[in-house]
Amino acid sequence: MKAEEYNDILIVTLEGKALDAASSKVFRAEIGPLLTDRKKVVFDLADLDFVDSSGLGALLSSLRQLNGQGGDLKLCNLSKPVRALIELVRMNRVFDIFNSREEAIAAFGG
Amino acid sequence: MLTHEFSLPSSELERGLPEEILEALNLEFRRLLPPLFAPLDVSLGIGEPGREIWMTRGSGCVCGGVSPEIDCASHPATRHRVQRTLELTSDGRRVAGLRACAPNEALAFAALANAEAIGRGLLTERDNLGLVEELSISWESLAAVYEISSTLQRNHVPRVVLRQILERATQIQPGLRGVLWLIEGEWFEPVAARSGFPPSPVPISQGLLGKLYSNPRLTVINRRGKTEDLVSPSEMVFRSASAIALVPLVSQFRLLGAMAVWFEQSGSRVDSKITRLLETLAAQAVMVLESERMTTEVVESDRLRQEIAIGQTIQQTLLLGSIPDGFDQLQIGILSLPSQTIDGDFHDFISHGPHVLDVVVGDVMGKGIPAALVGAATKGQLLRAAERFRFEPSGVRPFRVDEVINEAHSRVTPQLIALDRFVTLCFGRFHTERRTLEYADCGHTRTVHYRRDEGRCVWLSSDNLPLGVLSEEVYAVKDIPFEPGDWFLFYSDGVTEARNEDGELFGEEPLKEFLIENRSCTAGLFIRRLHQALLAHTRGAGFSDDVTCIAVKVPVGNLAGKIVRNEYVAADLEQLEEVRAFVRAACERIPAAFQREEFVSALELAANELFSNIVIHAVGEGTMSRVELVGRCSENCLTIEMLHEGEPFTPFAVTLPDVVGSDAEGGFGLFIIENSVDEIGYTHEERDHSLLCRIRLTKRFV
Repeated sequence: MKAEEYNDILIVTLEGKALDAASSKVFRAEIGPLLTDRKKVVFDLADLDFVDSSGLGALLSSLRQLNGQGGDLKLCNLSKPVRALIELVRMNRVFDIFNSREEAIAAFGG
Repeated sequence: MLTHEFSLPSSELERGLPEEILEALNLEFRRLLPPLFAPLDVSLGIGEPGREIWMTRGSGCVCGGVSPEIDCASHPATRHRVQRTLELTSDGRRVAGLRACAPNEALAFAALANAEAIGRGLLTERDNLGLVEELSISWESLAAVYEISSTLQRNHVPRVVLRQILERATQIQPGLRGVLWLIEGEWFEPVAARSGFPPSPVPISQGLLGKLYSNPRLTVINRRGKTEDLVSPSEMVFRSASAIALVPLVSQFRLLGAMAVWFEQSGSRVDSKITRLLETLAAQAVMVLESERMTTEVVESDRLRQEIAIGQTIQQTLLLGSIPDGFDQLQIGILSLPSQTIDGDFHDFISHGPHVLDVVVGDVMGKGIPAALVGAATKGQLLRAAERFRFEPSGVRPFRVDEVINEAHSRVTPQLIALDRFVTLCFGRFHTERRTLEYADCGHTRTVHYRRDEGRCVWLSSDNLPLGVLSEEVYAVKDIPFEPGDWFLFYSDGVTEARNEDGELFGEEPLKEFLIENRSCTAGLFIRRLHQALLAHTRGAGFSDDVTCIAVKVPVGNLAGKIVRNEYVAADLEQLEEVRAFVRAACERIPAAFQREEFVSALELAANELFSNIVIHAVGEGTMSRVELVGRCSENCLTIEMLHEGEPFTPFAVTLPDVVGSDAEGGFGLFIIENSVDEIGYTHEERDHSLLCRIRLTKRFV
């Protein structure tokens, strides 16, 4: 994954085509420390073609971590299959989803 | 003047302090104290301080107690300038008290010292005597128990043993008479007697036995005269008694009867030895009666078990049918759970060629073997009628469903009316080519029809009466169209009326909802889940009625489609990309018109989830196992199969998570699978001596 700063917003680009039961273990291990003490985080999922239930669990885990420390997470650039999955399990009611990185940043007032 | 008071707690009396010892105590005081301290009055108090029964000599001064705290100010003894008290203890308990009141200190102490010596000597003697007495009673009790036990070993007739027990009771002491009664309804009925006067039945509300009935505890009456005034007219057996002991026969808070012994000789007394032995013998009598009761229950239970076994044999052989071999046009699952009683539930299937199948499900009013036999007879008539043919100008055709029902009705209804029984049933004939169900419902539980195109369940029912109600009834039939993906549930009321501990029913609407939730399953998997749901609902309380459910699913595609791709992958999560690639490759083999992105993505997602679950839950990571992937294509669907060894895939047995607003980070897998494909199948098969689990994910092209 690639992390960059924009003002006080952390933008994480998830690299790799899939966030599945195999890759989500690594993702969980790496993302946790990155999010520590963060309030505003954007996950850019532009590269992701596939997310499964484990990947979804990892995204939810990040959201919980940020909410727990008073922060928030926004998702952007979802591919069609990823968006379809999130809508299938109705997690679009839990995540803030934006079409572009700019829209996500703007939602943080950036 | 010096006054000695000597008292014993009432607890000593309850233990059965021998009167002769008390008498000796009194005599000793009378004999020994006067010479020492003349003029001296002696008082012997027996009982709790302040509640003594006093035996006095001369004009004995009664101080009303022996505790040092007792104030004698209002008592004549306060004339004495010196009062001294001491207590006598035995085994750490206060058993007696002495109080000395004397004109001077020396005399008071001397009096106390002497009284104490006398008291202790008497107590020691009393303890020794008590010990001998105790041993004697215990020995006799043991002897009595041994005698009765020996009789029990030789003779299993309870009444004979009870007579033996009574006989033993009257041998405790010469001159004892006795009767043993057992309660039967509202009466004490004598079952054994050793009395001069024959005993009569005694109402449970009268006389001494009536008192014992309302307060079942040992009762002892020792009188100088007769006890005629205490007994009821029906207790004339006691008319000459001077001393009576009545002991209840109590088992687990239930009064079974009573045993009485008594003396008719004036002056005889019932003492603790008699009552202790009587209680021992009463316990033996209770044991005999309880043993008889349990033996009877075992016999009854054996009889019931035999009846259930016969009923279950009838059910298995005559009432329950099986799916015809080779009929693969419909998926059929059967749930048949016998209750603890015998019901007349029946079901069967008749195949009329490769495209027509009859399903019949019925229930006989009533329970037991008669219901099972009526069920077997009715089913026999239905099957017989269903296999009949009608000759018409256009050719030979099998009886239509209405003809089957009316034919069977004409044969069984007169008999059913004579037997005062009726039978509810539903009869369905599936025509898979023209996708129509010929359906007759005769007062049975309403059949559920899940319509895939509408995504909802509807009830199938009609106004037909059950068979056996009205001879003139003419049974009507409906034609119900169906489509692939549709379901039909034929079931008995044992399903919807399965109750939990709080009496709540499983219910009709929950059954419909359960079907909608599990519509993606194969019929076999659905039945397994329904079974688990019913067990979960009843929480192991069992079923009061037979539970029968026939689930019929119109398959979404031909499961025996052509294999378009087949490969093995290691059971490792790192292979997930490979699995997804397999699915995409299989999708390239379906007609190009159906190779839509949504179709491929959904099947890819479901396969990915299934593979993850197999690796995590069934096979285990790092086990070097393999999973076989098979892609099958038929004219209207694609099926991805995964075959694996290992534990049965239990996640399919769990309830779906509540994903909406769920706090869980996991648990979506199964939900995703079920909502991504049209059908999930799950079977076990044996290959090379190992159990293989085959899971199918089927998705229709349209």
